[in-house]
Amino acid sequence: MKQTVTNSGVGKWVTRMYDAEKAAGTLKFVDDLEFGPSLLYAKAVRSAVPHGEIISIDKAEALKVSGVKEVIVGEDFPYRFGLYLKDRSPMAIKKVRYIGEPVALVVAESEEAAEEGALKVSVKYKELEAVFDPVKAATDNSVLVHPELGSYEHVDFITPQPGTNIANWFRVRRGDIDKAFKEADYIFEEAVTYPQIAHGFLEPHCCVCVQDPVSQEITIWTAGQSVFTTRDIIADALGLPLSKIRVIAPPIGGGFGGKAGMTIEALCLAAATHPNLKGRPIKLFISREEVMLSSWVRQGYVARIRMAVNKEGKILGIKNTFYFDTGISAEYGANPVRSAGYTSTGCYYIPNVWTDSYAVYTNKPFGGAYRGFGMPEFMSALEMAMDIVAHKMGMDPVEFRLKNLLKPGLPTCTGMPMHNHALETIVKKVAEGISINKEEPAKRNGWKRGKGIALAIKAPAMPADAASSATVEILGDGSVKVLAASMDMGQGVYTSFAQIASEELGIPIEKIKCYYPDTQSHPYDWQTVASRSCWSMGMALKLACEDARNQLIQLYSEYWQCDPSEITIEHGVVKCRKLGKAEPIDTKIQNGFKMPDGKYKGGPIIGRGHFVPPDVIYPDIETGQSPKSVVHFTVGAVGVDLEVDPHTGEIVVNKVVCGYDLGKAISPLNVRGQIEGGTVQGISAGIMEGMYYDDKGLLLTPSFTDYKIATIKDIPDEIQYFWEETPEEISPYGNRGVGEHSMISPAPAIGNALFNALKVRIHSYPFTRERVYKAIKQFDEKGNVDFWEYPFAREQDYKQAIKSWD
Amino acid sequence: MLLQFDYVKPKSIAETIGLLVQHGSSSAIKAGGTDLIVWMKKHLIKPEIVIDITGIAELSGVSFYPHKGLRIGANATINQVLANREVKRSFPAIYEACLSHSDRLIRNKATFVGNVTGGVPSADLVPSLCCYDAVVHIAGPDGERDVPILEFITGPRRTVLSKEELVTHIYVPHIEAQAAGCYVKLARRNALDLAQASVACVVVDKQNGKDFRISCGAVAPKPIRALEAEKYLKGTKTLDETAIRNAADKVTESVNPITDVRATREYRLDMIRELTIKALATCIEGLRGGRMS
Repeated sequence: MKQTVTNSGVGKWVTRMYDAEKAAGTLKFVDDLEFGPSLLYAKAVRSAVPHGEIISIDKAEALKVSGVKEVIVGEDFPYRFGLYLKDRSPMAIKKVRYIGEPVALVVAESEEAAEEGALKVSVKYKELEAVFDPVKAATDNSVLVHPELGSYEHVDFITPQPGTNIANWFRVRRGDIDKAFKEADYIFEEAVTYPQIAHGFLEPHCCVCVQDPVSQEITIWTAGQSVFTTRDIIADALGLPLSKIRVIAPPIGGGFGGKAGMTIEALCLAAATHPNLKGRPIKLFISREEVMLSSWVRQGYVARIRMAVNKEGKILGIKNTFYFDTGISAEYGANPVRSAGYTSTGCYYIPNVWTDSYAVYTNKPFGGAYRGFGMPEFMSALEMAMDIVAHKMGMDPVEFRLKNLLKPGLPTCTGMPMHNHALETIVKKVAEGISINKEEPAKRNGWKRGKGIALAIKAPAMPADAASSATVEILGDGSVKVLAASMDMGQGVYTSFAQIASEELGIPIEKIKCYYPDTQSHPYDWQTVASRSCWSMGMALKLACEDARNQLIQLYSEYWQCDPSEITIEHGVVKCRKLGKAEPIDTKIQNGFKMPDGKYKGGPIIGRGHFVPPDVIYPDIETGQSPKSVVHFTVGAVGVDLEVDPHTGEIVVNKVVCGYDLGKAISPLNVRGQIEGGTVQGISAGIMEGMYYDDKGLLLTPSFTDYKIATIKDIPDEIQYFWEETPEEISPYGNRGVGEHSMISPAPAIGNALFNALKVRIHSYPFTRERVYKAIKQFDEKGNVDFWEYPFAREQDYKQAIKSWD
Repeated sequence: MLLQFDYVKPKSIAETIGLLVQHGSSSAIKAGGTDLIVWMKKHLIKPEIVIDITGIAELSGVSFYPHKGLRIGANATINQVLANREVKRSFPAIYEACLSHSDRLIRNKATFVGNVTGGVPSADLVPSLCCYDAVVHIAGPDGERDVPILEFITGPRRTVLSKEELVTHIYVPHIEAQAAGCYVKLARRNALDLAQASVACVVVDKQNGKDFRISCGAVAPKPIRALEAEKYLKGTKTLDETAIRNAADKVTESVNPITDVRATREYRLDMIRELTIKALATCIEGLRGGRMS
């Protein structure tokens, strides 16, 4: 029997935590923290060439600037860092690999002096030929971005190919692909491209590092999503014990994966660990331009998908080739490549699969984690390909999808049986929600209206041993201290955790506090990524709450001399109805209970819980096969009703309908926030976002002047969302991840709706006004239905263009 | 990140000119600061001294003088221009241009005149000013002078202003006839963006026929009026779709855009045609609907 009663438990619409402080501006971010006069400021000097040997670095002029303390170069801090593959040094050593790579770090008494010093460091390079196009880089080894690739350490499930630019090669080999294509009635081949995109979180990266000159202990305050992983990566690279590194993450202003793993902390440590600076805290705050250049972005993507289909519309086989443009580092970006690989049949059952998913080095800023983690890229390709095939076969796109759906029990491309889900119901509801087959006139004069659908799927992409732990302390007045080292970066995870604690302890949410992570106080959690927190940390936290509750009930049963099963906790009041007892939790819970024999028993109640996925087995390196390759999949669908102005190419999304099967909504308000937010982010990526370079590899979109993200004026009038709750077996409340999923498929749904409106198929994301206009013009002039602009050739177009009036 | 600089806040125009004479090209004038501070942070300009003119009372305000025109002081923010009722009524192309500029928050800081003195080809307020034959009033050590807006900007980020001079206000003459006007802009998104291409259009209904004024933004190194198109329209009896299309072609011939990360030259050329058609149709409709000036 349930022994707790609360109004603010799992599934309740409650007020979000920390919102009031954020709105009032009293919440302190890293940049707001005070460190006194000993604080020094660091500023990076950045490479001006895309690929070159460093001939010399002249520090003399910089050191003359008043206030400049030190100029540090790569050789001073010769460590390589990386989550999955150690291919990144915080500063270039001997060689630069992209425009923007740090080559030196100026440390000064003021930010101004550091900035001025950085301008005065002069670096001479011997330029080398560079490569920017991932397909060229993957297929032609004339330029090697990392000739030393063979010597880099990496985890077992990453397979770099030394002597090439391929940092990871994930394979799926299932069934007999040649036979499938031989037996097919129809064969389709489609290609889709997506440029790199940036997260655009509000708060740029900022960290402060200090090393104690006596104990050598390092303390790091950072705007990060992953205190423990930051700690572990640094400890591993520097050879320090974990106990000697403390990482504190104050509240952060958004992350979206951009603050996962370790980002700028190592660069700051180059100064903090310098013999002349040790003991003084060093602050590294990077500007938006530096964020765009030197913290990771979503990888560029080129997909080639071949499908073998029979007359009945059953997909017999799929052959995929994915090139992820990972820039100069795949330390984190190697993993989205796996994610796309082991999900490479999407939401469909396809018996014969051959997938090659490559992470490819180029001389550009590097790719890494971004909401969706390989799936927005891949699903933008697959869901468009599905639409194309349906249209070419004269089938209804919804029918075609449902016919091939990965129904519960059928194997995924890695051979893992699919768990229960309500995707069929969701697809039907979404299709109905936008009246997909009803042709409606455009609301705007001269515009064209269209509708499209795309399905979404994603598993938490993480190592098989990604663990979580939590502690829960019931304080002397019945309030609760939760230490669960997930980062609440706006997604609202602390509200969800408080709801879990409220549910399990019978204590109202107002009395529950979740603290921002600090490796000194909090027990271990891998990272706040992969939509895993409410699931993985949820498991640990639920166990911790149960542990605390059992301790409390045990003590009360002895104190009141009743059976433990007769005790309940209701809205913070402990009751035994049988004995007519009821009292609010008080100091006894912390100081001990005076038992009937007069002796004290108890002491502070601390519950603990931990969790690691119990049954995941890494996919086989050669075939990608595994009985359980991932913990679960969250599936869903997005429908878009849009209209487009053929005179300018402008798109207006009238309405979005989307639904996801998330098992159980722990915090419905936050689920709503995640769905709406991700949908807007997905639309933005689909219609305007992209990072572009000139023919020398110089980023042309380094700030928000030219890197455009949707504003409130660009988002749909209406976002209709819903969710289904098919419970997950191994899960605290049957819940699955939902944080990333809403961003996966708005873009392909828009692409499919555009085709419906224009009868033109645009294979290159994003669907900017200019691109849509060009596609319409090409159709009008030449009758070409397919429009394709290879993003990596844009640099060459740009070279030819008239760029100046001079 | 800003580098070190000195800061001074003069109380009068004379004092400002004195400072300009003294510091010349090592100084920079700050009004709203929404361009200046950004350019300084990016080190595009590195002034040793920043002269903040926001304390000078004579430079503030937006005033309308009946039968004369509109005076916009150097310190008037874009929101202050928008708040003046006469702007919406008599200078609709300026009103719409102001609304298309950045967003409400930035417009609260950014000055109207600053958008002009920046001299960037995509400046939203310039094409409308060209259509209204605005005049830039300049003060310097040798006295005051008036420069027509078309002559004020000489190239990308270049103006006739010497390092010792200051723009005190912009004057927009009143049109003594029924007129309609609009500003249409194309950008990558619906707010907070620079124009990829823009067209301002003013049509004046005079007794001897209609007077057309068309100017384009972001498609030439300096402000232009599409004189060939204006002449063609003035000589055309029936303003039907064909006439509008022909005029739009002539406007397109009068511009010379470049390719940059915001748009290609080819797209800008096509968009100038589309925007002109839209602008002319809007103005003609406006006159029919009796949008009075």
